[in-house]
This record gives sequence, C-alpha cells and structure tokens, in this order.
Amino acid sequence: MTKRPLSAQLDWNNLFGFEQVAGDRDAIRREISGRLGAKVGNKVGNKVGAKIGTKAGVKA
Amino acid sequence: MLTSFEPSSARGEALDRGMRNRLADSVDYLGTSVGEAIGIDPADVARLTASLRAARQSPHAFGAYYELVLALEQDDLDEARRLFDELLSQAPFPRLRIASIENRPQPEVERYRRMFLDAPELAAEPGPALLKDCRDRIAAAFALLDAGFPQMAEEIRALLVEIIIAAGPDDPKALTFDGASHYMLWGATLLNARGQATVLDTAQALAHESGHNLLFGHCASGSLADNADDELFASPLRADPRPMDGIIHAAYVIARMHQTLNRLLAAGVLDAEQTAAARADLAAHERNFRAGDGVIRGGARLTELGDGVLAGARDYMAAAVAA
Repeated sequence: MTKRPLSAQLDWNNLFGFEQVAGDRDAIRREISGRLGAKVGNKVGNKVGAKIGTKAGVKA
Repeated sequence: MLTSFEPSSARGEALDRGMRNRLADSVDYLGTSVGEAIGIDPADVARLTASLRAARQSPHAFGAYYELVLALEQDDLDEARRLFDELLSQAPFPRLRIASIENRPQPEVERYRRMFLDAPELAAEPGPALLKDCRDRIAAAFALLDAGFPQMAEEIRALLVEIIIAAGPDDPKALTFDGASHYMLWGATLLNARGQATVLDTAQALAHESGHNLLFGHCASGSLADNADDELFASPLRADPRPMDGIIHAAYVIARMHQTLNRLLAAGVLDAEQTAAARADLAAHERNFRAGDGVIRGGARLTELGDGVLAGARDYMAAAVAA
C-alpha cells in the first residue's frame, strides 16, 4: 500500500486564504516547486494577493 | 455596517475577530488532517486555537500559518513541523507595538522582509536618530488624529497590532517604498522612516496602510473583483501596472487619506503650515482618486463586496468634492 502524501490529504477549500485560489492549486504548486524557503511567501503572495489583497506601497 | 466608509474601532475589532476565528478554524483542520503525521499533540492544537480565538495575535501567527500550508503542499514535513511549532509558540499580542525591523527574532525579520517587499534589501534597519524621529512622528500623528479624527485613530489601533519601521534607500533615484502591507501578515504594516517628512504625512500613511489591512479583512471570504490576476491596469499610485485588486486598493486608500485630511481641517487642529500642506494634498488625492476610479469603471468586474466597498469611497469623495 502506498501512503498518500500529506499534501493530498489537505483540501484547500477548508483552509483560510487558500480556499479562494483552490482552483489554481496545481499552477501554484508548480510555481512554488523547489522554492520553499526564502521566496515562497512572495511567490504565492503575489498569486493569491491578486485575488484577495496585495502588497502596496512600493513606488518607482 | 462593515463596509461603511466611516472608520470605527468596533469595525476594526470585528474584522480582527473574524480573521482570528478563520485562522483558528484552519489550524484546527490542519491539526485533524495532518497533526498526527507530523507529530503534533491534539491538546497543543486545542490550546492554540483557543488562544487564537480569545485575543489579538502577532502577524507572525498568520505568516507562519500561510508558510505551513505551503510547506505541506510541498510535502516538506520537517519545515511543516518547524512552522507548526512556531505557531504553537505564539502568545497573544495585546497592544500596538512600534518597533524597528530588526528588533525581533531573526526568522521574523526575514519573514517581514520577504513578504512585505519584492526586494527585501530595501528595508534596512534604521539608525538610532532616524528611528527616534520616525517614532516621534508616529506618536505625534496619533495625537493629531486623536484630537481631530478620533474615529480614525481608534480604528487604526484596532486594525494594526504592529508598525514596523525600516529605512528605505537614501539615494533619491533608487526604487523605494513609503509603506507596505501584506494580507499574509494581518495587523502589520511596514513604514519607511524616510518615507514621510512631517507629522501630517505620517497621519496619512497610517490611514493609508491601515486601509489596506481593512480591505484584507473585508476580503477574507471573497475578492473585490473577478478580473483575472494577469489583467494589468495603470495605477494612480505606482509606476508599475497592477492587477485590478491593486487599483481598487489604491483608490480606496486615497479616499481614506482625503477623508483624514478633511476631518483634521474641519476639526481645526492643524497649524498654518499643516493647513497649506493638507489643502495641496487634498487636491492631489482628488486627482488620483478620479484617475483610479476611472480605471475601475473602465475595466473592473466588481463583486458585490467590491461594489459595496467602493460605493462608500465614491459617495464620500463625491460629497467632499461638492462641499
């Protein structure tokens, strides 16, 4: 018997902030793949942020 | 009414409570779903969720949660366990803290830098004199708001649990920032100690950045607009094109700064120099709001929430300009 990975046991529809992008989960997963650590907050922040809020204030 | 344009401490407290309850529900779900697999004691999860529901929390409770879900998504169990432990170590954060960016444990310094800014190196630790000037300006800005627009001061205190002070670049040609907020860091806002020159600037910056947090609270259950995230539009506040959500945020916080100046002027708490500066800024905010709202009217597919939130800002601006 193969044990299911933990990621497969989680339904994003039950997770605050992630339920709004549950439909984009595969794309987000590809985007963050291998990037865990320094940049992951930014990568997903930008993706999810476009839906439910965004960083603001940086100016040229 | 939560989407009213009038600030209130009750609204800020209600949004904070709502955000903490949503976080607690999700932590409870994580504990049930994966807690055993990563060695988390259910009693610890129960204690944490009770604490999350009971009292205000550090922005890092939210930041660690988001990173925890992403670690689980990558099946990085060691990182997930570390982040769950960080969540379990969170203590209530009862009152507004104002501190420099490096005045905290190193992992929290790094999280603030990477989440707030695309270029983390922009947020340097301010030197003692710069930090003191900024802290003094923040205290004076709150005193000014308490005197002239207390509802705004109270709502800011209800929305924000931490104001983080950093030093942006001192090269006038460099990319920089005035302030920053991020929905993954509920209750936190980053201010550039070099981003405001006067107490009035800082009062506006506080109204502005707390306005972003206010919108994050509104959006806990849905978006302001249905536009795709790769549809980009001209922003009234930034040189780079932004998703529609960013344009709505910009227009809303511009109206909030306008409201702040209007109320301070009406309350008669500004000196002659501040009065002249406020009038000049009001004119700029009017122009910028009109530009942002024009982009929204031309391209936004507003949700019911977005329509309700914007209606308050539009009604306020229309009445203020007509007055």
